[in-house]
This record gives sequence, C-alpha cells and structure tokens, in this order.
Amino acid sequence: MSEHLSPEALELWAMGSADSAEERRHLDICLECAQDLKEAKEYFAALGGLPSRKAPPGFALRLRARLDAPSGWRKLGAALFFPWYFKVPMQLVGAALVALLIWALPARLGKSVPLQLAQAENPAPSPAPPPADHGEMAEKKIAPERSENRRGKLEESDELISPEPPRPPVPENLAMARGRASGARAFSPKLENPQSLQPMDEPVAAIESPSGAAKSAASESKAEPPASAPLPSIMLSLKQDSLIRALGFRLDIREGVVYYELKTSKVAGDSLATRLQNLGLGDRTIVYSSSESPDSVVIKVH
Amino acid sequence: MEDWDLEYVQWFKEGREQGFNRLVQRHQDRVYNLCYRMLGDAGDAEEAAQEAFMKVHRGLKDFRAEAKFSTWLYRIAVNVSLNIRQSSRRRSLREAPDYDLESAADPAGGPEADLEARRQEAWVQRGIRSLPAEFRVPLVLRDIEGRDYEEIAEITGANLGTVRSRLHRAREKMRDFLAEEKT
Repeated sequence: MSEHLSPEALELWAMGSADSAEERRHLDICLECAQDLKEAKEYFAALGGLPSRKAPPGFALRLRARLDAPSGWRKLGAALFFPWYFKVPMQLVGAALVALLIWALPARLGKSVPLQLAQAENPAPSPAPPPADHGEMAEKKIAPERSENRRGKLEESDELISPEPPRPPVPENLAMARGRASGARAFSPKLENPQSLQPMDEPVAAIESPSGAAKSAASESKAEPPASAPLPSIMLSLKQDSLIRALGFRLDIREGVVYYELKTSKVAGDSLATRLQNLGLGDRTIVYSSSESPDSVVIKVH
Repeated sequence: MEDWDLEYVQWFKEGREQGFNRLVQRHQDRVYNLCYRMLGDAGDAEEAAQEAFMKVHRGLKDFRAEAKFSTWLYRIAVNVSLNIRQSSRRRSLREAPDYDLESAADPAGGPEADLEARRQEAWVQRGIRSLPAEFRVPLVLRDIEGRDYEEIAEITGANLGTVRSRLHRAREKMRDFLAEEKT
C-alpha cells in the first residue's frame, strides 16, 4: 500500500474499529500516517470523553404542559367567541351597526354637498372672462364668502380674488418715480389711507425710461382719482395676481386697491408694460418707484 | 428499535397520545444531548429539545416513515437548535462558557477528577461552539452522537461528499483549537 490512509480509515483506526492488515502495515512504515493517527486518537479521546447529557428531570412533564396549553390562536378564539351564544350575537349586532354607519355617513354627506353648491352658486355670477370692461368687471365683484369657499380651486382656475384682511402698514421708504426724477417729492405710501398716493399718469413709461417718467409728470393730476371719490372695486383675477406676484410680492389690499412691490430687475425694459397690457391691467395700474429702494417699484392696481 | 418508533407513531396516528409520550421517553436524552452539544447551554438545550418535540407532535400525523423517525426527529432538533443559537448568539458572546456544575461527571474518581472532567468538557464544548454551524452539525452528529454519514447527509440535507468534506474541515478546526488551547 503506497498511498496514505484516508481520513475515514484513520477515523476507524482511531476509534479502534479497523482491522485491515494492509493498513496496519502502512501505519507501521509511514510516519506521516502514524502521526495523523496519533492526533486522531487524541481528538476522539477528547470528544469521546464528553459525558452524555440527560434531559433534566421533569422534561416530559413540562413538555406535556406546553402541549396541553392552548395556543395563541386558541386563546384568541376563546377570547373572541366564547361563550358563543353571547358573544356571537353581540358581534353580529356590532357588525350591523358598523355597516349601517358606513352606509349612512356617505348618504348624509351626499345631501349636504348640493346644498353648499347651491349656496355658493346662487348669489355670484360665473367666473368672469379676462377683463375687457372695467365697469362690467366692477359689477361682477365676487363676495368674500364665495372666494373663501372655493379657495382650494383658485390656483387652477381664473377665479377672482377679493380683498384680504388688513395687513401691517408698508415701510415708508418709497418715493414716486416722478419725484425721484425731479428731486422734488418723496413717495411714502401710507396704505392706511391709500388715497393719499400720488400716482403717475403713464406708469409704464415711467418704468421704461427716465424720460418717460419725466413725461408722465405732466398728466399727474389727470390720472389721480379724487381723494374723496370712492375707489372702484377691485376685479383682479388670481391668475393676474399670481403673474404680478411672480415679479415681486403683494404689499397690501385696501378698499379695492391692490399694491405690489416689484423688483426693477425683473421688470426692466418694456416687460412690465407688456405684461400689464396682456393682463388687461395696463390702464388700471399706477406705477411708483422708491427713492430709497431704487431696485424696486410699487404698482397700484385699482 | 426503529420498529418501536414506528409502532408508537402508529399509536399516535390512531389517536393514542401515549404513543407520543413513549417516543419522548425513548428519545428525550439523545435529543437533549444533541441540543446541548449544539448550543452549549443547558437552558437553551431544554428549550430547543422541547420545541423540537412540539414540532414533532404537530407534524407526527403527517409522518410517512419515508425516513427513520429518529432521522426526522434529529433533523428537527438540529434546525431548532440552529435557530435558537442564532437568537441567543448575542447573549452567548457576552457570557462566559457554560461549565454547568450540575453536569453528570462521574464522581467516582473523587472531587479532583470530577473537576478535571468538567474542565475538559468545558474546554471541548468551547471548541465546538467556536465552529460555524455548517461544521458544527456534522461534527456533533458524527463524533459525539455517532451517526453514520448517510444519516447525517439525510439530517442536514447535504450530499454525502459535502458531509465528508465539512466533517474533515470541522475536525481540522477542532484539532487546531484543542492544540492551541493545550499550548
């Protein structure tokens, strides 16, 4: 036998259950296999010396107790349905009540919806088309209640906005463009009294160029509404409002007049004029500029 | 022996709970010893053995004697032990090796021999616990429980060559551990 013993053969020799004469002779002459056999014997002696553990006393009794104990599902079933002659009818009644509630709730909600719609549609006209006639627009003023009721849909539609609650006064650091051009008057829009504003007669031109601002000074008194006259009602759609606010932010809404402060960097050139014209607000807008904030202008939409 | 197992299984299938009780009586020590060697902790071993017998109780009606009952029982016990070991791995890593002073070391050689036997057992058990599961299972089944290779393959679900290979690797690792500890 020229080859070394296999691990299985060594195992048998180590456990004393091998009797092959050929393997015996090999072990006598092969020092390597003899060394392996010695290590295997030590190994099996170590593992074979382990005592056989017996199950602890009461093992079978504890097992029986666990087997006889109701399972989690059985416990749940007993809790839910035992005694069945009492709990099952109660559960049926409960299920019927829940079903009735589920059925009745949408029915009640379904009744109230048409009522709300009817209330909302009754006093106010349908949303106005893009303003063409200011007088007609003023007559179609939408009540605040309607605007609040349908505020959720206003972004997508061209609904009209209504005046908002009063806001804190605007910082008095603004001056009219004309005043800055002439160096004569400073503009302080006291929005508690918006009629005190001094509007420009050609506001868009004032933005377009300084010469336009100077030119507009000639017709100042023509564009300014009488101080005592009531301001026209505002009819500014949310779309118009949002497009203007894209250029800056809304300062205030007072008595039907909306004030915006816009960044001049965003309204340079004729873009503001074009935008206001496209929105149908060209002749309803008065533009001011701030002496202290030359990078912004104030527009007043009435 | 296996005939008695099949007889008791048949009792159980006929509705006689006594059949299961007999099976427990016949196998509880070997199953417990297997679980103990796999887990190295007396509490975990009892938990695993009881869980194994409970699984057997649940599945005994469907047992079809395609394998030996003891093979089926051992396979369940090994799987339960592996699951329990995974769940208690964190704890066992923190704890000291289990010396289990209530072990059944033979007191015939006197207190000193008894103490030495316990140390020896703890030392070997520590080596077994250091083995990965794939090596520990064939080593325990073969070198401690004395199961033959075919049965180990059936219990572990591996083929015979894999069992031999893993057992060879397990013994090498175990020898290395014992030699290292001895030095």
